[in-house]
Amino acid sequence: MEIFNIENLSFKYNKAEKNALSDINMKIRSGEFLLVIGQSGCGKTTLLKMLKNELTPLGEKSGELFYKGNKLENLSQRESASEIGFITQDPDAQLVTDKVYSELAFGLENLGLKKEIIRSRVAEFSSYFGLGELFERETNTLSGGEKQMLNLACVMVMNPEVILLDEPTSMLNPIFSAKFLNTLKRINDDFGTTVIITEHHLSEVFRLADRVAYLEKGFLKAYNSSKEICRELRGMEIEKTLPAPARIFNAFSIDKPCPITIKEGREYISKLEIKSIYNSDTEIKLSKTVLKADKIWFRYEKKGKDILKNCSLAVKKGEIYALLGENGSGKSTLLNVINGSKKAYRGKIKTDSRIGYLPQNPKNVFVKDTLEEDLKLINNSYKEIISEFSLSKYLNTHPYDLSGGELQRASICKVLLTEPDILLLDEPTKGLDNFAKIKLGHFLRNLCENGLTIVLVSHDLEFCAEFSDRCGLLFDGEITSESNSREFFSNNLFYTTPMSKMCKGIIDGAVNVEDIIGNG
Amino acid sequence: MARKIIKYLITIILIPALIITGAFVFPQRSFTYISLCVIILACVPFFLSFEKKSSTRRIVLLAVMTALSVAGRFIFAPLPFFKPVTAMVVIAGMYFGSEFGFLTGALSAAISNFYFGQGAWTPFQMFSWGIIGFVAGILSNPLIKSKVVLIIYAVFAGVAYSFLMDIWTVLWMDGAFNPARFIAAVGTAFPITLEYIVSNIVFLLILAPMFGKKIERLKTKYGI
Amino acid sequence: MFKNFNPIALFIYFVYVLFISVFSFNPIILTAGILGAVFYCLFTLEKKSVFKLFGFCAFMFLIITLTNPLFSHNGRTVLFFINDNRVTFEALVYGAVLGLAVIEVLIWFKCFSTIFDSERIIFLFGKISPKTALVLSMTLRFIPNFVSNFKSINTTQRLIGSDSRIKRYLNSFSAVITQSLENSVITSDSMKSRGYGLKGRTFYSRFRFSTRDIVFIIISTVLFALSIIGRTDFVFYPSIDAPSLSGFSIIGCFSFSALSLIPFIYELKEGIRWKYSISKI
Repeated sequence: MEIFNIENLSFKYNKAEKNALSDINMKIRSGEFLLVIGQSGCGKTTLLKMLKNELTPLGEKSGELFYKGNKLENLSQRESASEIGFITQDPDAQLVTDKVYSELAFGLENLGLKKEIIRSRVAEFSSYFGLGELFERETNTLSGGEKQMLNLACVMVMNPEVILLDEPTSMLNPIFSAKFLNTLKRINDDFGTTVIITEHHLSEVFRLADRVAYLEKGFLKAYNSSKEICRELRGMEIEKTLPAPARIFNAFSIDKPCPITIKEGREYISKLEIKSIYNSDTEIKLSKTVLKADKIWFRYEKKGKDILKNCSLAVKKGEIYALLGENGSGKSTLLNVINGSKKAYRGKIKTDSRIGYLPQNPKNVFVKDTLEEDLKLINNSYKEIISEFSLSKYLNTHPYDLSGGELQRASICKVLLTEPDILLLDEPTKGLDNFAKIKLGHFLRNLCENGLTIVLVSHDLEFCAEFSDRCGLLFDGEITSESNSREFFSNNLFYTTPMSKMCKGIIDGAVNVEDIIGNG
Repeated sequence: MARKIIKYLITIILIPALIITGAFVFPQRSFTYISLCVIILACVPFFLSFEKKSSTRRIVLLAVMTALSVAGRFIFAPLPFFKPVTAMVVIAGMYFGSEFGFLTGALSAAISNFYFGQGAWTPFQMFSWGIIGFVAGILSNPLIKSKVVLIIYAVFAGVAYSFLMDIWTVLWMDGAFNPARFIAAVGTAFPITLEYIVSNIVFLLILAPMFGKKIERLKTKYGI
Repeated sequence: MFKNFNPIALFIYFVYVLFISVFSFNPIILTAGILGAVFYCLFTLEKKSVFKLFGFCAFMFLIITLTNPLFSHNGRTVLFFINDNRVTFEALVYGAVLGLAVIEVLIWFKCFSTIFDSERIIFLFGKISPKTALVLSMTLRFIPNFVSNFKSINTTQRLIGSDSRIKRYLNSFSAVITQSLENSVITSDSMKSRGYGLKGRTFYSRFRFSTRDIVFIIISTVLFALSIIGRTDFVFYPSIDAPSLSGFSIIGCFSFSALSLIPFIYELKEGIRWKYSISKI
């Protein structure tokens, strides 16, 4: 049975020139796990919001939407609230109350359930989601991943028929996002809840999906099972974002079923006869050291535990150095010690260079109402650099209204106005889609060629593998392994790119998909 | 219907009865008692009408404005002469109406006392800040249009808050209005009053126009 | 623990005690109230905050006692003159009693604050005004968020290093306002999509109402009523006049002492019971 039936749906925002959605026809089956993909601005989010009355944006709509055979707009508020759940990408802003348990109870209170029923429902689901230990905590003491898990639990206590998720993992690190997506799959299996999810990073979620829909500029371009759709997307721009096995598959032969998981990918790749790879020799830069962290020790509280222990680091001029490591390994702390906002109690940072710093949230770089006012705060020579960054047309825009990639570039632009020699970036790819990520990567490479040195902290292994010169792994407060990126990723077993995992022992040294299929 | 009758009975009979008997039982401190009752009762209608009519968005906004004014108190703690609470309350009244202003003021007082300690002064503080927000709501148009009016109101708000709290101090200590003690209280509080006035002027002149722009932007961005 | 009674019962108790404390002017009653609160504080608060509280109280007491004669010149027994103003013995004693009254309320409010954390206050409001309770709960989530948001913006701005400190603070605060107003839209969408605004909203809390609470309320109410019936005020001006000891006033004093000692006695009982059950194991 279909849970949603979308017929000739078009939608145009007020004041917009083009349609956000054009003539969409979809039949979404009850109990299916549907993944919606597409570039930023393709209409994914709009489509999701159209499926829930309370969130339907203002604008002109045509076509019909049916929910379980009836018109969606006739669904009562009560049914809509309990049957259709919605989760957005911001884990924090969608929380309402100050305590975990009251957050869990919030939806049930709205439905007017009795205290006893709420109590047992909340208890049931907090154990299903493993939230028991967090039950009495204040919501703002949770980590981003825990918050998003709580949001999911809050929707699930209401026992919905369908959950709509708008890029739910884009603000989470890889460990948490895998955990989140697996929980989602478990819900889908255990309860038969329909899942409709949009995502940019497909390596984890793709294998979980039953069907995939691809939107481009508001049109539904492809809509098929996850195995079939890879073939259909061949040659399209979106192809670059597909999981590594599917990309290899598309590049070679497409007569067998498409591999999606690493396991299937290994099987597939072992039958290909590839021994050599592109880009195999990476040049090693022999430039001088511009930044040296010498045996740094750091802790936050006098009696607290050491976050950095005898941590040393040397960065060379003109390189991109990527600091990797688990949460809490001290990556961000090391950046803060380097930029001077935290003081090491032993050890020294040695550098003659000016240091610029970009925080995790690029919004925090901006404090004024237009981009121009903000840049003027630094100095008046921004015109040249802003046109180099092709951001001139946004000078009168509010910085917060820029898209993720533009915002990231604008924030780099503002920091560059202070004329730093070294740029520190804290998770620069967080929340960006693949296109924006690749653009950012080339952009950073370009800056380095002009003499800038970049140190970045990231969880995004594919990004680091493609764009950084050297990588260091921070573990337990010190750098435990460090080498040039290719060596780093091909030597690591677990802490490496999906491509490297897939090719290990079969095609040695392959780290990026491009290593095999070339850049063409 | 029955509920309505009971409600009116309570307001017309029970509350005055409570005040009068209280005044008899505590002859020496009757003024303190009556003033406390009146102050608490004065807050009640605002909360009642908030309970009845208010959209989800308004509820969230009230929480945001209250939190901003309390958080501002922590944020600006390192800078002397910078106390943004009153200014935020005035802004709330200016841009979201008098009732909203009252609630922001009253809740800011109640909640900042979660951190700084509750006391018998809490209701008085709630009322004082509430009234400042309320009046700002009534004067919303001139306050938004004219900087002079804004400055005058900033001064007024600083003085009014201090006076109201001083009245409470005197009532609580003497159980009656003792002019000598009131003058002394006003005198000792003078430097603080001055601080309030200065920070009100600074914050209102900077934040109020800023806030107006932000609200406009939000309205166009989300079509509210 | 005493604070584990149902918040409604606790609130009633505090209203009773504070009601009498704020409006009584009888040194015996006041002393009894102070003792009850002090014992409870000693049992529950950390040593450091107890010292701080008591220090502050002693200071307040002295200030009020010594300054009252400057404001009030009533009374028969003149001690000496300052600038032609009489300083009387009665005013001094009145000041001391006033001091007791002030610090008694102070200490009781301290007890109130330690027991009534946000969760309990929200519970109370939830019964009277659910929307206010929700606003309180949301505000309490926002405040630490905004403060930490401010800190990270401010640090970023400091590192970019373009402004004076004051300007930077104001700019960063302004950015906090913008971000929080924007997020408020997401929050209200999230509330709406989870059905906020539907008719017949219920209120869930983890507190239960048990017979223990009823017994507690009955005992407190009886003691409160007896204290009111037996209450007497001292008269200080023109001369000090203690009320004669009647049966009523003895009952009044006794009842109030018992009332104010309830928290302490309860903690003591629990402590003994805990030790006993431990020794059994």
